[in-house]
Amino acid sequence: MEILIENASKTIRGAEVLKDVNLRLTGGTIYGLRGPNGSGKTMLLRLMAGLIRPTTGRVLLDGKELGKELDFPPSLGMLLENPAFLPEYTGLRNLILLAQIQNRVGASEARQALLDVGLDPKDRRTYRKYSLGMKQRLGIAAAILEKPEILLLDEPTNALDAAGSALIEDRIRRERDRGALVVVASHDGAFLERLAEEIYTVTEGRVAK
Amino acid sequence: MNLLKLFSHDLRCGLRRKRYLLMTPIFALACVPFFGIAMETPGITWMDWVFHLFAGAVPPVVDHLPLGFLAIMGGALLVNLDYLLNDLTASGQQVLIRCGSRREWFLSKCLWNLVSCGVYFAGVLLVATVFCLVTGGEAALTNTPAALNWKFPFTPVRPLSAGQCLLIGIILPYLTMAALSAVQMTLCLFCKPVLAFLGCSGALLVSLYFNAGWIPGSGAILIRTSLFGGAVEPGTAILVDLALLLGSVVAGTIRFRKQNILSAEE
Repeated sequence: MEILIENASKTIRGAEVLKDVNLRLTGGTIYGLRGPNGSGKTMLLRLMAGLIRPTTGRVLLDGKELGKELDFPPSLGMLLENPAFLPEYTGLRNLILLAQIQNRVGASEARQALLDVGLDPKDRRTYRKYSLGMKQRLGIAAAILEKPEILLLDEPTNALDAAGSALIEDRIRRERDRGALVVVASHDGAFLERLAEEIYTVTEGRVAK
Repeated sequence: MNLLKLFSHDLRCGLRRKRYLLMTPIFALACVPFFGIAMETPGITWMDWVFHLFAGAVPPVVDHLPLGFLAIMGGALLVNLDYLLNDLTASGQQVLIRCGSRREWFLSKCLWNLVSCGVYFAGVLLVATVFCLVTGGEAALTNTPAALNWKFPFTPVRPLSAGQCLLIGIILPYLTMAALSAVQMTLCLFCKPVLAFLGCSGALLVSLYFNAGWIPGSGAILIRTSLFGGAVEPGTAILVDLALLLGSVVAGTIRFRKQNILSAEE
Protein backbone atom coordinates (compact mmCIF):
# COMPACT_ATOMS: atom_id res chain seq x y z
CA MET A 1 0.00 0.00 0.00
CA GLU A 2 1.27 3.44 -0.90
CA ILE A 3 -0.22 6.88 -0.38
CA LEU A 4 1.16 9.55 -2.69
CA ILE A 5 0.16 13.15 -2.08
CA GLU A 6 1.16 15.47 -4.90
CA ASN A 7 1.11 19.27 -4.55
CA ALA A 8 -2.06 19.11 -2.49
CA SER A 9 -3.58 22.28 -1.11
CA LYS A 10 -6.91 22.72 0.55
CA THR A 11 -8.90 25.87 1.07
CA ILE A 12 -11.97 25.83 3.30
CA ARG A 13 -14.15 28.91 3.60
CA GLY A 14 -11.36 31.11 2.31
CA ALA A 15 -8.69 29.76 4.66
CA GLU A 16 -5.87 27.66 3.23
CA VAL A 17 -5.66 24.78 5.69
CA LEU A 18 -3.16 22.69 3.71
CA LYS A 19 -0.43 24.22 1.54
CA ASP A 20 1.35 22.39 -1.24
CA VAL A 21 1.70 19.08 0.57
CA ASN A 22 3.92 16.42 -1.01
CA LEU A 23 4.24 13.08 0.74
CA ARG A 24 4.94 9.49 -0.13
CA LEU A 25 3.91 7.00 2.55
CA THR A 26 4.32 3.25 2.30
CA GLY A 27 2.97 0.22 4.15
CA GLY A 28 4.75 -1.34 7.12
CA THR A 29 5.77 2.05 8.52
CA ILE A 30 4.52 4.26 11.33
CA TYR A 31 4.49 7.92 10.37
CA GLY A 32 4.08 10.66 12.91
CA LEU A 33 2.48 14.05 12.37
CA ARG A 34 3.25 16.62 14.99
CA GLY A 35 2.29 20.23 15.32
CA PRO A 36 0.26 22.54 17.49
CA ASN A 37 -3.55 22.56 17.58
CA GLY A 38 -4.98 23.94 14.37
CA SER A 39 -1.80 23.39 12.37
CA GLY A 40 -3.52 21.09 9.85
CA LYS A 41 -2.72 17.60 11.18
CA THR A 42 -6.35 16.49 11.27
CA MET A 43 -7.02 18.02 7.85
CA LEU A 44 -4.11 16.05 6.43
CA LEU A 45 -5.59 12.86 7.90
CA ARG A 46 -8.98 13.78 6.44
CA LEU A 47 -7.34 14.28 3.07
CA MET A 48 -5.76 10.82 3.21
CA ALA A 49 -9.10 9.32 4.32
CA GLY A 50 -10.97 10.86 1.37
CA LEU A 51 -13.19 12.91 3.67
CA ILE A 52 -12.01 16.13 2.03
CA ARG A 53 -10.84 16.62 -1.54
CA PRO A 54 -7.78 18.70 -2.34
CA THR A 55 -8.53 22.09 -3.90
CA THR A 56 -5.42 21.62 -6.02
CA GLY A 57 -3.14 18.61 -6.38
CA ARG A 58 -4.13 15.01 -5.87
CA VAL A 59 -3.97 12.00 -3.58
CA LEU A 60 -3.14 8.61 -5.07
CA LEU A 61 -3.60 5.24 -3.43
CA ASP A 62 -1.56 2.60 -5.17
CA GLY A 63 -1.86 4.75 -8.29
CA LYS A 64 -5.62 5.32 -8.03
CA GLU A 65 -6.76 8.89 -7.48
CA LEU A 66 -8.96 9.58 -4.48
CA GLY A 67 -12.09 11.43 -5.50
CA LYS A 68 -11.93 10.20 -9.10
CA GLU A 69 -11.28 6.48 -9.14
CA LEU A 70 -12.04 5.91 -5.47
CA ASP A 71 -14.28 7.70 -2.99
CA PHE A 72 -12.39 6.31 0.01
CA PRO A 73 -9.43 4.00 0.57
CA PRO A 74 -10.85 0.48 0.27
CA SER A 75 -9.17 -0.73 3.45
CA LEU A 76 -9.11 2.09 5.97
CA GLY A 77 -9.32 2.31 9.73
CA MET A 78 -9.44 5.70 11.35
CA LEU A 79 -9.88 7.50 14.59
CA LEU A 80 -10.44 11.19 14.04
CA GLU A 81 -11.12 13.62 16.87
CA ASN A 82 -13.66 12.26 19.36
CA PRO A 83 -14.94 8.77 18.65
CA ALA A 84 -18.71 8.52 18.18
CA PHE A 85 -20.82 5.40 18.37
CA LEU A 86 -24.45 4.48 18.85
CA PRO A 87 -25.08 5.38 22.50
CA GLU A 88 -27.76 2.77 23.18
CA TYR A 89 -25.58 -0.23 22.23
CA THR A 90 -22.66 -1.93 23.97
CA GLY A 91 -19.15 -1.58 22.60
CA LEU A 92 -19.28 -5.08 21.15
CA ARG A 93 -22.63 -4.49 19.46
CA ASN A 94 -21.32 -1.26 17.95
CA LEU A 95 -18.30 -3.04 16.49
CA ILE A 96 -20.40 -5.90 15.14
CA LEU A 97 -22.72 -3.43 13.40
CA LEU A 98 -19.73 -1.71 11.80
CA ALA A 99 -18.22 -5.05 10.79
CA GLN A 100 -21.45 -6.05 9.07
CA ILE A 101 -21.05 -3.26 6.51
CA GLN A 102 -18.08 -4.87 4.81
CA ASN A 103 -18.54 -8.41 6.14
CA ARG A 104 -14.76 -8.90 6.20
CA VAL A 105 -14.75 -9.84 9.86
CA GLY A 106 -17.30 -11.16 12.32
CA ALA A 107 -18.17 -11.18 15.99
CA SER A 108 -15.04 -13.07 17.07
CA GLU A 109 -12.78 -10.41 15.50
CA ALA A 110 -14.87 -7.71 17.17
CA ARG A 111 -14.34 -9.38 20.54
CA GLN A 112 -10.61 -9.67 19.83
CA ALA A 113 -10.39 -5.98 18.86
CA LEU A 114 -11.95 -5.06 22.20
CA LEU A 115 -9.51 -7.28 24.08
CA ASP A 116 -6.61 -5.75 22.12
CA VAL A 117 -7.43 -2.30 23.46
CA GLY A 118 -8.14 -3.45 27.00
CA LEU A 119 -11.94 -3.52 26.91
CA ASP A 120 -14.06 -6.42 28.09
CA PRO A 121 -16.26 -7.86 25.30
CA LYS A 122 -18.68 -9.14 27.97
CA ASP A 123 -19.21 -5.67 29.42
CA ARG A 124 -22.99 -5.04 29.28
CA ARG A 125 -22.72 -1.28 29.70
CA THR A 126 -23.96 0.76 26.77
CA TYR A 127 -21.66 3.24 25.04
CA ARG A 128 -23.36 6.19 26.70
CA LYS A 129 -22.15 4.89 30.07
CA TYR A 130 -18.53 4.58 28.95
CA SER A 131 -15.86 6.81 30.47
CA LEU A 132 -13.83 9.05 28.14
CA GLY A 133 -10.94 6.59 28.22
CA MET A 134 -13.22 3.67 27.33
CA LYS A 135 -14.71 5.66 24.45
CA GLN A 136 -11.21 6.34 23.15
CA ARG A 137 -10.29 2.66 23.41
CA LEU A 138 -13.45 1.69 21.55
CA GLY A 139 -12.58 4.22 18.84
CA ILE A 140 -9.19 2.55 18.40
CA ALA A 141 -10.82 -0.90 18.43
CA ALA A 142 -13.10 0.22 15.59
CA ALA A 143 -10.11 1.54 13.66
CA ILE A 144 -8.18 -1.76 13.88
CA LEU A 145 -11.25 -4.01 13.67
CA GLU A 146 -10.90 -5.04 10.04
CA LYS A 147 -7.09 -5.12 10.03
CA PRO A 148 -6.98 -2.23 7.58
CA GLU A 149 -4.11 -1.55 5.19
CA ILE A 150 -4.23 2.13 6.16
CA LEU A 151 -4.63 3.20 9.77
CA LEU A 152 -5.08 6.89 10.54
CA LEU A 153 -5.09 7.87 14.20
CA ASP A 154 -5.61 11.38 15.49
CA GLU A 155 -4.42 11.88 19.07
CA PRO A 156 -4.90 8.17 19.91
CA THR A 157 -3.77 8.54 23.52
CA ASN A 158 -6.32 11.24 24.39
CA ALA A 159 -8.01 10.50 27.72
CA LEU A 160 -5.84 7.42 28.31
CA ASP A 161 -3.74 6.81 31.40
CA ALA A 162 -0.09 5.71 31.18
CA ALA A 163 -0.97 2.01 31.09
CA GLY A 164 -3.60 2.62 28.43
CA SER A 165 -1.16 4.64 26.33
CA ALA A 166 1.45 1.87 26.55
CA LEU A 167 -1.12 -0.70 25.47
CA ILE A 168 -2.16 1.40 22.48
CA GLU A 169 1.47 2.02 21.52
CA ASP A 170 2.07 -1.71 21.49
CA ARG A 171 -1.09 -2.27 19.46
CA ILE A 172 -0.03 0.31 16.87
CA ARG A 173 3.35 -1.39 16.46
CA ARG A 174 1.63 -4.70 15.89
CA GLU A 175 -0.47 -3.11 13.17
CA ARG A 176 2.73 -1.87 11.54
CA ASP A 177 4.30 -5.32 11.88
CA ARG A 178 1.52 -6.93 9.88
CA GLY A 179 2.18 -4.44 7.08
CA ALA A 180 -0.26 -1.61 7.73
CA LEU A 181 0.55 1.97 6.78
CA VAL A 182 0.04 3.83 10.05
CA VAL A 183 -0.18 7.61 10.41
CA VAL A 184 -0.42 8.98 13.93
CA ALA A 185 -1.09 12.65 14.60
CA SER A 186 -0.26 13.95 18.04
CA HIS A 187 0.85 17.08 19.77
CA ASP A 188 2.84 14.84 22.15
CA GLY A 189 6.34 14.88 20.68
CA ALA A 190 7.75 12.32 23.12
CA PHE A 191 5.00 9.83 22.24
CA LEU A 192 5.73 10.23 18.53
CA GLU A 193 9.51 9.95 19.05
CA ARG A 194 8.98 6.59 20.75
CA LEU A 195 6.53 5.27 18.20
CA ALA A 196 7.09 6.68 14.72
CA GLU A 197 9.80 5.77 12.22
CA GLU A 198 9.34 9.01 10.30
CA ILE A 199 8.03 12.21 11.79
CA TYR A 200 6.63 15.17 9.86
CA THR A 201 5.96 18.54 11.36
CA VAL A 202 2.81 20.35 10.31
CA THR A 203 2.89 24.12 10.66
CA GLU A 204 0.12 26.36 9.34
CA GLY A 205 -0.81 23.77 6.73
CA ARG A 206 2.74 23.14 5.53
CA VAL A 207 4.33 19.73 6.03
CA ALA A 208 8.08 19.30 6.54
CA LYS A 209 10.24 16.44 7.72
CA MET B 1 -25.87 -4.70 -1.18
CA ASN B 2 -24.01 -1.76 0.31
CA LEU B 3 -27.09 0.36 -0.07
CA LEU B 4 -29.18 -2.12 1.91
CA LYS B 5 -26.66 -2.14 4.75
CA LEU B 6 -26.46 1.64 4.78
CA PHE B 7 -30.21 1.86 4.74
CA SER B 8 -30.48 -0.50 7.70
CA HIS B 9 -27.96 1.72 9.53
CA ASP B 10 -30.12 4.75 8.77
CA LEU B 11 -33.26 2.98 9.93
CA ARG B 12 -31.48 1.97 13.12
CA CYS B 13 -30.05 5.41 13.85
CA GLY B 14 -32.45 7.76 12.16
CA LEU B 15 -35.77 6.41 13.32
CA ARG B 16 -34.99 5.77 16.98
CA ARG B 17 -35.61 9.34 17.91
CA LYS B 18 -37.93 10.70 20.53
CA ARG B 19 -38.90 13.65 18.39
CA TYR B 20 -41.52 11.62 16.51
CA LEU B 21 -43.29 11.06 19.83
CA LEU B 22 -42.74 14.64 20.92
CA MET B 23 -44.71 15.82 17.89
CA THR B 24 -47.89 13.96 18.84
CA PRO B 25 -49.19 16.77 21.12
CA ILE B 26 -48.91 19.09 18.11
CA PHE B 27 -50.97 16.67 16.01
CA ALA B 28 -53.52 16.48 18.81
CA LEU B 29 -53.71 20.29 19.08
CA ALA B 30 -54.31 20.44 15.33
CA CYS B 31 -57.25 18.04 15.77
CA VAL B 32 -58.87 19.96 18.62
CA PRO B 33 -60.71 22.64 16.54
CA PHE B 34 -62.58 19.86 14.72
CA PHE B 35 -63.70 18.13 17.90
CA GLY B 36 -66.94 20.09 18.34
CA ILE B 37 -67.89 19.73 14.66
CA ALA B 38 -67.23 16.00 14.80
CA MET B 39 -69.47 15.65 17.85
CA GLU B 40 -72.31 17.65 16.30
CA THR B 41 -72.21 16.44 12.70
CA PRO B 42 -73.69 13.01 12.05
CA GLY B 43 -71.77 10.49 9.96
CA ILE B 44 -68.29 11.98 10.46
CA THR B 45 -65.65 9.56 9.19
CA TRP B 46 -61.97 8.93 9.79
CA MET B 47 -61.23 10.51 6.45
CA ASP B 48 -63.02 13.70 7.59
CA TRP B 49 -60.47 13.99 10.40
CA VAL B 50 -57.65 13.58 7.91
CA PHE B 51 -59.30 16.13 5.60
CA HIS B 52 -59.52 18.56 8.49
CA LEU B 53 -55.77 18.27 9.12
CA PHE B 54 -54.72 18.69 5.49
CA ALA B 55 -57.47 21.02 4.27
CA GLY B 56 -55.12 24.00 4.31
CA ALA B 57 -56.76 27.25 3.33
CA VAL B 58 -58.37 29.05 0.42
CA PRO B 59 -56.80 32.41 -0.56
CA PRO B 60 -56.95 35.00 0.87
CA VAL B 61 -55.62 33.36 4.01
CA VAL B 62 -54.52 36.44 5.91
CA ASP B 63 -57.25 36.04 8.52
CA HIS B 64 -57.38 32.27 8.49
CA LEU B 65 -53.80 31.02 8.52
CA PRO B 66 -54.12 27.25 8.98
CA LEU B 67 -51.82 26.91 11.95
CA GLY B 68 -52.49 23.20 12.47
CA PHE B 69 -51.65 22.43 8.85
CA LEU B 70 -48.49 24.53 9.00
CA ALA B 71 -47.44 22.94 12.29
CA ILE B 72 -47.85 19.43 10.89
CA MET B 73 -46.08 20.12 7.58
CA GLY B 74 -43.41 22.35 9.14
CA GLY B 75 -42.95 19.83 11.95
CA ALA B 76 -41.99 17.18 9.41
CA LEU B 77 -39.26 19.50 8.12
CA LEU B 78 -38.04 20.12 11.63
CA VAL B 79 -38.01 16.44 12.57
CA ASN B 80 -35.91 15.54 9.53
CA LEU B 81 -33.69 18.60 9.52
CA ASP B 82 -30.47 17.53 11.19
CA TYR B 83 -30.15 13.79 10.74
CA LEU B 84 -27.92 13.83 7.67
CA LEU B 85 -25.43 16.34 9.04
CA ASN B 86 -25.46 14.86 12.53
CA ASP B 87 -24.78 11.41 11.17
CA LEU B 88 -22.00 12.80 9.02
CA THR B 89 -20.16 14.16 12.03
CA ALA B 90 -20.81 11.17 14.31
CA SER B 91 -20.94 7.39 13.91
CA GLY B 92 -22.03 7.83 10.31
CA GLN B 93 -18.48 8.77 9.37
CA GLN B 94 -17.27 5.28 10.31
CA VAL B 95 -20.13 3.86 8.28
CA LEU B 96 -19.32 6.09 5.32
CA ILE B 97 -15.65 5.06 5.02
CA ARG B 98 -16.62 1.42 5.29
CA CYS B 99 -19.28 1.60 2.60
CA GLY B 100 -16.76 3.24 0.30
CA SER B 101 -19.31 5.14 -1.80
CA ARG B 102 -20.52 8.67 -1.29
CA ARG B 103 -23.31 8.13 -3.82
CA GLU B 104 -24.76 5.13 -2.00
CA TRP B 105 -24.45 6.89 1.35
CA PHE B 106 -26.51 9.83 0.10
CA LEU B 107 -29.04 7.58 -1.65
CA SER B 108 -29.52 5.76 1.62
CA LYS B 109 -30.27 9.08 3.31
CA CYS B 110 -32.85 9.80 0.58
CA LEU B 111 -34.54 6.47 1.26
CA TRP B 112 -34.41 7.20 4.98
CA ASN B 113 -36.14 10.52 4.33
CA LEU B 114 -39.06 8.72 2.66
CA VAL B 115 -39.38 6.31 5.58
CA SER B 116 -38.99 9.04 8.19
CA CYS B 117 -41.77 11.07 6.58
CA GLY B 118 -43.82 7.87 6.47
CA VAL B 119 -43.36 7.31 10.20
CA TYR B 120 -44.21 10.95 10.92
CA PHE B 121 -47.26 10.80 8.68
CA ALA B 122 -48.37 7.55 10.33
CA GLY B 123 -48.16 9.41 13.66
CA VAL B 124 -50.51 12.08 12.30
CA LEU B 125 -52.95 9.43 11.08
CA LEU B 126 -52.76 7.59 14.39
CA VAL B 127 -53.70 10.71 16.35
CA ALA B 128 -56.54 11.36 13.90
CA THR B 129 -57.69 7.77 14.48
CA VAL B 130 -57.72 8.27 18.24
CA PHE B 131 -59.83 11.43 17.88
CA CYS B 132 -62.14 9.65 15.46
CA LEU B 133 -62.65 6.80 17.92
CA VAL B 134 -63.22 9.15 20.84
CA THR B 135 -65.90 11.09 18.92
CA GLY B 136 -67.57 7.93 17.66
CA GLY B 137 -66.63 8.52 14.01
CA GLU B 138 -67.01 5.92 11.32
CA ALA B 139 -64.02 3.98 10.06
CA ALA B 140 -64.62 4.98 6.44
CA LEU B 141 -62.35 6.19 3.65
CA THR B 142 -64.98 8.53 2.24
CA ASN B 143 -65.72 12.12 3.21
CA THR B 144 -68.72 14.02 4.55
CA PRO B 145 -69.10 17.41 2.76
CA ALA B 146 -70.57 19.06 5.87
CA ALA B 147 -67.34 18.36 7.74
CA LEU B 148 -65.42 20.83 5.57
CA ASN B 149 -68.31 23.21 4.80
CA TRP B 150 -68.20 24.72 8.30
CA LYS B 151 -64.71 26.05 7.56
CA PHE B 152 -65.02 26.61 3.81
CA PRO B 153 -68.61 27.69 3.18
CA PHE B 154 -67.85 28.99 -0.32
CA THR B 155 -66.00 25.92 -1.58
CA PRO B 156 -68.11 23.30 -3.37
CA VAL B 157 -67.10 20.35 -1.22
CA ARG B 158 -68.69 17.21 -2.56
CA PRO B 159 -68.62 13.55 -1.60
CA LEU B 160 -65.62 11.76 -3.11
CA SER B 161 -64.89 8.11 -3.72
CA ALA B 162 -62.51 6.28 -1.40
CA GLY B 163 -59.83 6.35 -4.12
CA GLN B 164 -60.14 10.11 -4.57
CA CYS B 165 -60.07 10.62 -0.81
CA LEU B 166 -56.93 8.50 -0.49
CA LEU B 167 -55.33 10.47 -3.30
CA ILE B 168 -55.88 13.95 -1.88
CA GLY B 169 -55.98 13.09 1.83
CA ILE B 170 -53.12 10.61 2.13
CA ILE B 171 -50.96 10.24 -0.98
CA LEU B 172 -50.56 13.91 -1.90
CA PRO B 173 -49.92 15.25 1.61
CA TYR B 174 -47.37 12.48 2.22
CA LEU B 175 -45.66 13.00 -1.13
CA THR B 176 -45.52 16.77 -0.63
CA MET B 177 -44.10 16.30 2.86
CA ALA B 178 -41.46 13.88 1.59
CA ALA B 179 -40.58 16.12 -1.36
CA LEU B 180 -40.14 19.26 0.75
CA SER B 181 -38.11 17.31 3.29
CA ALA B 182 -35.89 15.90 0.51
CA VAL B 183 -35.33 19.39 -0.86
CA GLN B 184 -34.43 20.56 2.63
CA MET B 185 -31.97 17.69 3.09
CA THR B 186 -30.22 18.55 -0.16
CA LEU B 187 -30.19 22.26 0.66
CA CYS B 188 -28.39 21.36 3.90
CA LEU B 189 -25.43 20.34 1.74
CA PHE B 190 -25.30 23.83 0.24
CA CYS B 191 -26.15 26.08 3.18
CA LYS B 192 -26.70 26.10 6.91
CA PRO B 193 -29.57 23.81 8.06
CA VAL B 194 -31.49 26.74 9.50
CA LEU B 195 -31.51 28.41 6.07
CA ALA B 196 -32.64 25.17 4.42
CA PHE B 197 -35.48 24.94 6.92
CA LEU B 198 -36.47 28.57 6.41
CA GLY B 199 -36.38 28.12 2.63
CA CYS B 200 -38.66 25.07 2.65
CA SER B 201 -41.06 26.30 5.30
CA GLY B 202 -41.15 29.60 3.39
CA ALA B 203 -42.17 27.71 0.23
CA LEU B 204 -44.90 26.04 2.26
CA LEU B 205 -46.15 29.39 3.47
CA VAL B 206 -46.03 30.90 -0.01
CA SER B 207 -48.09 28.00 -1.34
CA LEU B 208 -50.90 29.05 1.01
CA TYR B 209 -51.07 32.50 -0.55
CA PHE B 210 -50.94 31.49 -4.24
CA ASN B 211 -53.49 29.24 -5.80
CA ALA B 212 -51.25 27.30 -8.20
CA GLY B 213 -50.48 23.60 -8.38
CA TRP B 214 -46.85 24.00 -9.34
CA ILE B 215 -45.84 25.74 -6.10
CA PRO B 216 -44.15 23.24 -3.76
CA GLY B 217 -46.52 22.64 -0.88
CA SER B 218 -49.74 23.13 -2.82
CA GLY B 219 -50.16 19.38 -3.23
CA ALA B 220 -50.83 18.99 0.47
CA ILE B 221 -53.61 21.61 0.52
CA LEU B 222 -56.58 19.47 -0.35
CA ILE B 223 -59.22 22.21 -0.31
CA ARG B 224 -57.49 23.68 -3.40
CA THR B 225 -57.82 20.47 -5.39
CA SER B 226 -59.69 20.50 -8.67
CA LEU B 227 -61.96 17.84 -7.16
CA PHE B 228 -63.41 20.69 -5.07
CA GLY B 229 -63.30 23.20 -7.93
CA GLY B 230 -59.83 24.53 -7.06
CA ALA B 231 -56.81 25.19 -9.23
CA VAL B 232 -54.61 22.33 -8.05
CA GLU B 233 -54.76 19.30 -10.32
CA PRO B 234 -53.74 16.20 -8.32
CA GLY B 235 -51.79 14.90 -11.32
CA THR B 236 -49.81 18.14 -11.57
CA ALA B 237 -49.14 18.14 -7.84
CA ILE B 238 -47.87 14.55 -8.00
CA LEU B 239 -45.57 15.46 -10.89
CA VAL B 240 -44.25 18.49 -9.00
CA ASP B 241 -43.58 16.36 -5.92
CA LEU B 242 -41.87 13.62 -7.91
CA ALA B 243 -39.77 16.22 -9.76
CA LEU B 244 -38.72 17.74 -6.43
CA LEU B 245 -37.83 14.31 -5.05
CA LEU B 246 -35.83 13.33 -8.11
CA GLY B 247 -34.19 16.73 -8.41
CA SER B 248 -33.11 16.58 -4.77
CA VAL B 249 -31.61 13.13 -5.21
CA VAL B 250 -29.67 14.16 -8.33
CA ALA B 251 -28.49 17.53 -6.99
CA GLY B 252 -27.59 16.03 -3.60
CA THR B 253 -25.68 13.12 -5.12
CA ILE B 254 -23.63 15.47 -7.32
CA ARG B 255 -22.98 17.87 -4.48
CA PHE B 256 -22.12 15.16 -1.95
CA ARG B 257 -19.37 13.78 -4.23
CA LYS B 258 -17.30 16.84 -3.36
CA GLN B 259 -18.66 17.57 0.07
CA ASN B 260 -16.05 18.30 2.75
CA ILE B 261 -16.71 15.97 5.66
CA LEU B 262 -15.57 17.81 8.73
CA SER B 263 -16.32 17.68 12.44
CA ALA B 264 -19.18 19.71 13.88
CA GLU B 265 -16.67 22.24 15.24
CA GLU B 266 -14.88 22.64 11.92
